[in-house]
Amino acid sequence: MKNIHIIILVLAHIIFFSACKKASEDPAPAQETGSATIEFDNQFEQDPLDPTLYTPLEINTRTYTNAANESYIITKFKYYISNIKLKRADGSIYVVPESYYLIDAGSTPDSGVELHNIPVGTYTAMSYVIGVDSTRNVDGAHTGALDPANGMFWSWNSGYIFMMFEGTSPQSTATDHVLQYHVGGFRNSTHTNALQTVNHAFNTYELRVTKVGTPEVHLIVEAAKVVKSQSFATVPTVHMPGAAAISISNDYASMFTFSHIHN
Amino acid sequence: MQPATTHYEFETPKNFPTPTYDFKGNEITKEGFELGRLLFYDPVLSRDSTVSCSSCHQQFVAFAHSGHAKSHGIDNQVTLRNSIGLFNLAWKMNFFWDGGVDHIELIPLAPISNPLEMDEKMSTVVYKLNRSGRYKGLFQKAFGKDTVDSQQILKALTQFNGLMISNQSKYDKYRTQDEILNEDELQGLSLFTTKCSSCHNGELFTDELFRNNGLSETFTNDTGRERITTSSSDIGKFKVPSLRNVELTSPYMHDGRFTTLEKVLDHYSTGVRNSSTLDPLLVKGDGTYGIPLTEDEKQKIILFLNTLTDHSFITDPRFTNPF
Repeated sequence: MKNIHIIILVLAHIIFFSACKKASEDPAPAQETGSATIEFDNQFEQDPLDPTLYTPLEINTRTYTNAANESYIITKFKYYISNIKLKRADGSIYVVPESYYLIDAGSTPDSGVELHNIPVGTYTAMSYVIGVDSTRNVDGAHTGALDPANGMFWSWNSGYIFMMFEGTSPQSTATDHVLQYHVGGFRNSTHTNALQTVNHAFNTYELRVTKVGTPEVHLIVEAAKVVKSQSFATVPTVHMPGAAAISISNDYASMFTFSHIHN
Repeated sequence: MQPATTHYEFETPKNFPTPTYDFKGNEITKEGFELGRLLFYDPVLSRDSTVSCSSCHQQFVAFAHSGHAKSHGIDNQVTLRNSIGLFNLAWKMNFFWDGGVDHIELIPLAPISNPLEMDEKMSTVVYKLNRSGRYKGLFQKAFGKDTVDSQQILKALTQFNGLMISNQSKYDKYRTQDEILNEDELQGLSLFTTKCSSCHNGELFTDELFRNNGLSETFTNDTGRERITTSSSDIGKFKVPSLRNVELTSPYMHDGRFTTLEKVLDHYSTGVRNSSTLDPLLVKGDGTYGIPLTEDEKQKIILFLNTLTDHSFITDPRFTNPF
């Protein structure tokens, strides 16, 4: 059973920069385009005995145990995916413009990230950023997925929260035994930059974008990876950019696995 | 439908540099500006409707907080730092004493969500304003959309805050018109140029950098820029503030520890304390710290600083309380 709950907030209209205007005055030859969907299958973790099975992610209801043998429930799990790139068989890359998505693994509906106006062709790999790039952190007020009212934004040390993982654990030493791991940090500094890039080779699969098809790329997300190095008794909360946030981002960078493609 | 709006012009004063924010994507209109003005003065932005932006940013003191070392917030709480005067924001690289906010449109998010200031969620502000009989129509007129969102709130506040330009001081008229500074003021300007303008430079009287000006040896209460970068080399560094309207914005420093400009200059001449991040400009040739200043020089510098007071800015009817 897959328990996938993804909400996608599509970025609304963004300011047109002069570069865009210039491009529109000198249009490239018309190119055939199609659509594709990236499915984020949010699970808890892979079964250690049978790698084809996953323990499902059940928000609020299921008790899990971490490596330090501390038990916990997950109440919130959200993250940003941005800057999606698709790689063609010839090595050239298509950058999906304005690709910013807030994925809420704790909410319905069960959905994926829909990409439109993708040039028709065959793609063999993809990459994306977990979080929001520095440009969008510092260029003003946005709407849609990047609306600061979504609650994924720090206001005093201004910037997006890339990943929010919350829950409770009897072993947590925080007030009300909460767990709150809020990870972000984009500044160009070894002390605070928690941006992570994920690459997926499609291996024996191909993503074939056509004018009429709706191919789906399936990625599996293992929420357990977020806290795999954490001791809830020692560090139950992270609320700002810095070493602790970077450490968690290094862990969750490996939570995404390419599964398969339906063309 | 595109609403009928009245365009407002943003003009760079002729002695000012190029602004960092040019209102591209946020064209100033009378409707947007007036909406921002209402929001600035309206406590509806706070959790219990007791605190507005204007609670800690008062026009008669160039939008600083008169007489408060650290500004006061919701439930009679005291904040961490001194409220900075608000003017010429369109020329700044980043905001607050630690530069934690990088864009003028994002400034209001900090005081709104700070539990010591307004303690409100932006999503709740959006909800409240969408339900408000007063605001719903005003947002429609300014932005032509049926629903209020956080971007419209932030852009309206930016239209108001961004037009708060202070460039009518005696010094400005000396620079751009035929106003004359008197002999003491001119001597003060000369002294200021020699002794202060390495940091308080240019027509905005700040280099916009973060510097440790020797207020402490340890900075255990507030590490300043280090809170943003987590870099130990930033401990004790704070944004060099503009000195425009400095006569009005007492008390001084990030924690408001000095009540008068005399005390500020006393600090620079004899009070500077050493630490590993102390600004090199405050280390003298003989290895001691501070800036050599006689009492006469201090008085003349203060007389010059007083020429930076902009009386028309603090009485400008465009910026007064609309309620």
